[in-house]
Amino acid sequence: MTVEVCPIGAQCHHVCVYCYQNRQQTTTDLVQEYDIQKIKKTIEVEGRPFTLSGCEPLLISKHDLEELWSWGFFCWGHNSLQTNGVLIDEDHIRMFQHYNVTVGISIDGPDELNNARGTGQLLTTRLSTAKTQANILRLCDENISLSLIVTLHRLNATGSRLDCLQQWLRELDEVGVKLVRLNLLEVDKEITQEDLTLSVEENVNALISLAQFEKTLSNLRFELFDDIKKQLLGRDNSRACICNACDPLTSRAVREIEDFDQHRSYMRKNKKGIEYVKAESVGFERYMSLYNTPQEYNGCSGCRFFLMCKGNCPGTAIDGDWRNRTSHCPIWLQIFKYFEEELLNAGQVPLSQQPQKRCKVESIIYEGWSRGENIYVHQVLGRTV
Amino acid sequence: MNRLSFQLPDFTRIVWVSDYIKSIWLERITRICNAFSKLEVISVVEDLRRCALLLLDTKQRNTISEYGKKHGLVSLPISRVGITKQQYSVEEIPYLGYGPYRTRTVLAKKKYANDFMEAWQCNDQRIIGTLLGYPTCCTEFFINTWLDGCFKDTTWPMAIGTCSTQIEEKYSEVIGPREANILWRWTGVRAVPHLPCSFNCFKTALFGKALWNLKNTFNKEREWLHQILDLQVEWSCLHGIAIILTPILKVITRSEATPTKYTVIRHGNKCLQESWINNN
Ligand code: SF4
Ligand SMILES: [Zn+2]
Repeated sequence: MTVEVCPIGAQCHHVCVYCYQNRQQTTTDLVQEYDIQKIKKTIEVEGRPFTLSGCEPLLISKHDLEELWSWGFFCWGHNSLQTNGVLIDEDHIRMFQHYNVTVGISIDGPDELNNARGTGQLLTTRLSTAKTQANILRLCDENISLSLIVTLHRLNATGSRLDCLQQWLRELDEVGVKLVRLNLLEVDKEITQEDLTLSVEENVNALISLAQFEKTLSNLRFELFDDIKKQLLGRDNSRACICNACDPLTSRAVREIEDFDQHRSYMRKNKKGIEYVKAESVGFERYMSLYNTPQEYNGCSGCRFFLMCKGNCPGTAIDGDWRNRTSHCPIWLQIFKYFEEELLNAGQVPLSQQPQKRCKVESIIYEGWSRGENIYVHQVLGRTV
Repeated sequence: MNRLSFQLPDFTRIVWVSDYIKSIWLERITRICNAFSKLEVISVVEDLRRCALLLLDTKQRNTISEYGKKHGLVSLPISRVGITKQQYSVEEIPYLGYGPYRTRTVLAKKKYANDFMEAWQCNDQRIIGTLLGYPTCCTEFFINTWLDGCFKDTTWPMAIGTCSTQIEEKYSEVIGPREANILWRWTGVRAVPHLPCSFNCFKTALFGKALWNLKNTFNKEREWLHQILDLQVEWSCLHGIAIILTPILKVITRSEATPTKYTVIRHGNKCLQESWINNN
């Protein structure tokens, strides 16, 4: 788990149609001034490595990047960055190598498949995508640790577009890209263009098709599928979180640090209202509540995948209210079932297929939550149930 | 109000809109809470009511006992309760016979002390309410909702009981005197010690005004209290969790386990005025 650091907040040279940060840009069009020393102090308090992100962190001056990364390297021996990959140049590559920066690039595919992540104009969007593609190859040549984030939507995940995506991923597999994170499109009617969203069936088909496609590749792995299989087997100590009971008030998996004038901040609003400072204590009320609330009322009561999914990410909750389970529930249900079956066929019995054991684990974890403690399934299984 | 059969453990968490606002208002809120505790005691001395029910640690008990004696009052211990880490808790933690505790204490005019103890033993809420100075309407409301209805968050029944309210099946907009605004109680801020029966309970307003005007003390705290209670508040409750949104902070607390969302909006100022922030 890393701390997410966004020194320039929501600023970006792109206007991706589904970008969460993009919603805030319209209300905050000032260039925020940041104070690197203050940011470093805040990270120090967190005491964990950080990921430089926000909308486009490579808009930060190279001098400041060098200062942050040299310090990060000194403290933790490595750094990480999440970028759209357009602005990467020789200087950046030197810093990636020098300060052991792992680079995550957000790109939804080659050419027109990436049109949703754009500049607002088709020509420049395509140019940006071409630059990103070239930079991916360059990073591979330089042996820089690289992963991609691909969001599935109508431009890249149905029909011939899905074939095209897979062809591109095969090429990346051949040049040595090892890890791809798949994201489902966050459905927000106010910003997500209707024609970008996939139906439940389309999402499920795309995911299953990619899961089958993965088996034909030599290097490249989809983190999501690995994670789901591990979760089903109770090995929830992996790095990623499809859901590790993140607290929406403290967001333990990703904690954003922006540097902005606190005095002004009480007037700063985002789409969903005021941005709040993180809570002082961690709470698991969302998960206790979903565990008890019947599924017909947007809870998860009785779901055999609860230990693996926990109602999923609060950021994708139905009606944007984290007290509800994820709006992607019907997709996850089918995907969990798919991998459950796959594991069974391979002779492994997922926890979801061991009702007695599952219930015992659930009650131990629930007990922990009621004391304010997040116990992981692997810890419970380690103690033998 | 439809309710599901589960109840979450008691919890309250508060998040502020910014560290800057917190640095100013947390101290003010602490001062409001301290002033309120003192006014609870003064209200008995000054004959606003006959008794007060207090939760005191050992040091406070000695101080209150001394203070009471000086003014012809008696303070009687009722029970010991455990100490919770929560900022606000609905349920008392039972005292297990060891570790720190607080004492539920009644502070009373001598002639009413016995009446209170008897009523307490018989669990006669109407007499207890009268001795504590609570409006009769609010005592009846407490009996109906808290005791008989097992509500641990009375916001929705309060909204239903509020006249001139824009109310739909699960959505209500209310207005009313600031003293009857009990939606800040999870932060400790309140104008009255009881749970008002509605957002426009007139008797609550009178009681609250009289309480905060006692001896013309705590003027600064009263001013801050008024600023806070006049802010717009939105309470919503879903699946056992209430979220209370205000312009300066957000409270997340245990509430009723409703299958669908209920919302109450108490109209007020939507933002702080600059003078409230800078003027100490
Ligand atoms: S699959 Fe659906 S019901 Fe099951 S835990 Fe996930 S969100 Fe809840
Ligand atoms: Zn009343």
